[in-house]
Amino acid sequence: MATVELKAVARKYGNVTAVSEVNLTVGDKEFVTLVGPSGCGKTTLLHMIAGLLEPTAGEVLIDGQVVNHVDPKDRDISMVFQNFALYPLKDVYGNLAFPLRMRKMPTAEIDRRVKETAALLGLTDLLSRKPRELSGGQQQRVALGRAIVRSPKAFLMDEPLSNLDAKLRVQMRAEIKRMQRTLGVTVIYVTHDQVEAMTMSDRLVVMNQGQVQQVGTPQEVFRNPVNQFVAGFIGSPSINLFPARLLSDAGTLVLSMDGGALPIPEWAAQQLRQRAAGAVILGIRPSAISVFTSERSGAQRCALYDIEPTGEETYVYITLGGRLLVSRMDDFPTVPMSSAVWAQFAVDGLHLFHAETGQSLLDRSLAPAGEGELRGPS
Amino acid sequence: MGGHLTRRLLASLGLYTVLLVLLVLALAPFLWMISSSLKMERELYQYPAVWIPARFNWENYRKILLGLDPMTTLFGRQALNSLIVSFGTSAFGLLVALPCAYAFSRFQFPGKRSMFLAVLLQNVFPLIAFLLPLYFMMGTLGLRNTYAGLIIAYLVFTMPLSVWLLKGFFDSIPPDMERAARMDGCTRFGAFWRIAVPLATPGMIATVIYTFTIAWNEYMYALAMTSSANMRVLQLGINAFFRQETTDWGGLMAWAFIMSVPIVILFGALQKFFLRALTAGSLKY
Repeated sequence: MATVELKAVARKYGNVTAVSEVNLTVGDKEFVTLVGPSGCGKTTLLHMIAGLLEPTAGEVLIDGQVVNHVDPKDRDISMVFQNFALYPLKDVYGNLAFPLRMRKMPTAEIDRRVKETAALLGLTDLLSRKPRELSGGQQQRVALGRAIVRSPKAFLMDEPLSNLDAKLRVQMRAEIKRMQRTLGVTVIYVTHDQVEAMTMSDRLVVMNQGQVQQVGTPQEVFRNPVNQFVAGFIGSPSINLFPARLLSDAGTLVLSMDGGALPIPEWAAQQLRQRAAGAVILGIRPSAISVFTSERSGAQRCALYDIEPTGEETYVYITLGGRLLVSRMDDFPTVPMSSAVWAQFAVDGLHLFHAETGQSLLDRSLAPAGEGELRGPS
Repeated sequence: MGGHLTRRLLASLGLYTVLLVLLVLALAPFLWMISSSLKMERELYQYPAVWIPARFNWENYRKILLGLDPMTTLFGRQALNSLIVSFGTSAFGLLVALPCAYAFSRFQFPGKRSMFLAVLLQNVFPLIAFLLPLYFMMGTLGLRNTYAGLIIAYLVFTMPLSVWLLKGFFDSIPPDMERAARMDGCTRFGAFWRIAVPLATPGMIATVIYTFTIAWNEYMYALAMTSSANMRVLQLGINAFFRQETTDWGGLMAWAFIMSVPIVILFGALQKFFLRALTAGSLKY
């Protein structure tokens, strides 16, 4: 198995920078996901690791060897594509055998490996079918099979689940993760779906506009996003972000916002002591807001906007100072729209971002893993 | 219910009538050609015309195929010439158009757009516009009255459509399929050759049919580019039937029929493959 290392890797198209200066080390047997909105450069980066694209700057290393000028075929890594990219004129057997035939493996060995892989993925009965005769899920399995059949050093996966329906997607998510753990392989995975990224990866690489925003475990990235973009991108429903002012009230720091004020917990206050008062962006996860139908101390009065029961949990939309916020509740009573409700903010769930740069002002790893952050991402 | 059924019946009746008319229009000249080639001399001018000759006269075919008529002794040679030129045009056409179309489909290079437009623009000019320039160019190159000269001339005017047709096929193949092939162990060329080219089979067949038919039937360039009798192609051989005083219609029709056989066979043989290739490629990749 293998390590993949990127040193200041960049790709430009004319004057347009698709990927700028990415530094990243993917360890052996690690599952790392490049995640970001479409057009953020994640697929470009993956293609550079694959060798399908040459970086315009920087170095790509596989197992410590610089491979910038090595052909994809000689990098010994395999790739699964979004549209599966099965060879339509070959049957399942032919598709699985193709990478082995290209490596001039003896026929008997090819046969053994193809059958072994087919058995692993439940494709044994489908070997003589053509790709178009398979369902989406089966095509997906063949694509996976073609990637694992030759036991490469690492796997690259480019949005492999986005062509599947929702139910199958969840199932294949678990299957891919199990396969990665069972085979003990290095996987670099690309997706725009933050749920996929959170649930499958050892580490996330959050990208936006060609730049790496943050690298970390799903929990790190969720709990302690380095900037407003990462906070907004990771988590479902999205974090509530709105402008607020940092005020010093007789030595104690307070956050003032339209429609109310929030005290600042001690761990955060310590970090903010050096800062001048001023405008900030306040972030608070839906799970850190509790909504009540009756008044209680410390809760802000707001108006109910909408209730979205999903079965498991309920999203409660409220307006506070003219802004729409969402709260995630286990349950919520049926009350008329626009009635007065009271929102309680779990202050330990507080995120603060610089009003201009969007950089996080708090190191939230010092926050107690308390209320509001107990319920992780779905 | 009854009205609905009647309407459907009327609709299909109308459809079949139209198809029948089209079929008759398309087949009548062809059948007339066969009929005339089998008639005795006097039946040719008989009025009212007869479609089926009283007695099949195979003489026209005998004299062509066995070279009995002094005017048509070169049939064998000319058939060979036609086959060489037509196969040559198809084969070289494919050989050049395939990578050309692929490059236009897959690669980014400066001037790509204008070059592709230039290729297509050539179709706008009438064929005769290229006749003189090509005639003199072939003279300079010493290719007049050679197979190569004629093949190159035909390539000049079949290439634009061939490239355009094949580019369309390559455009419909997702590039990820070739990327997959490169990951699986193919070189860049290998991905083109092993994956893209087989998937473009319907396009290649259409291209072959098109170029072969053009080369097989073209008259003007064939006449201009060849001068000696044994370099003439079949379509020029027809001239031999227009004699000083008379026209040998029976012989001419037999010649024309013999000429149409390879084209019919080509269509028949490739159509099956063409359809199979089309359905095989119809997977929504």
